[in-house]
Amino acid sequence: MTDLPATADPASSEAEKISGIGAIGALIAAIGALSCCVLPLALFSLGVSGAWIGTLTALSPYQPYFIAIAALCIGVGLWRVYRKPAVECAPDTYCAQPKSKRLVKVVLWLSVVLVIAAFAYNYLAPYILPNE
Amino acid sequence: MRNKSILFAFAALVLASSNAAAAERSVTLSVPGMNCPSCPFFVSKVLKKVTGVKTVKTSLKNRTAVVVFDDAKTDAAALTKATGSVGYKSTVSQ
Repeated sequence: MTDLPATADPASSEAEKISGIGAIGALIAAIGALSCCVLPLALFSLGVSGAWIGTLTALSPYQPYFIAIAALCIGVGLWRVYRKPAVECAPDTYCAQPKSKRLVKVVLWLSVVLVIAAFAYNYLAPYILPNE
Repeated sequence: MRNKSILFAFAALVLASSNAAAAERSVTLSVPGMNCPSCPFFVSKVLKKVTGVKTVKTSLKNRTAVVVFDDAKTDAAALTKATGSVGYKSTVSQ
């Protein structure tokens, strides 16, 4: 049997690229969504304080945009990473190995958790913040 | 006898004057940057750390913090400096 190229199906490598970009975008946007509220609180409770707190919380009005971008990236990424390839990968090629998709999946699902946390925080804050 | 009463009057005057200086004052700070769910928490925490502050009541809706403090121990300038130290500029509104 002749050696097959690293990816037998150009469509699946394109899907990998898109899902990979989606994963990176999702993670960055999720961190952005957390940075206005959850992140300053977490750092503050660890004793880290400073004028940066006010700067970060000033991002609050933009949080919906971060969440929207994250949701978009997650949607595209998950669609591409779970979609069955048009041509099945030949068993010995790189694209058939689960490792190529596992990292992308981990990052995407991690982003899902972070975005949910960022979003939920807005509603939970009055209950979890100590009373003045 | 007369010296004793002078001494007593003097002591009473000293005590009265030092008590008069240690008065409780209330000031309302306007904190325009306090516009997120967590923001009042940070403002309140940092103000409470200022020596002499007795109570802090924040209002997210009005973006204000009402601070009751001992004016012998601190002043409004120290309060606005404290909020500034966590990134929330404030001004005394009344």
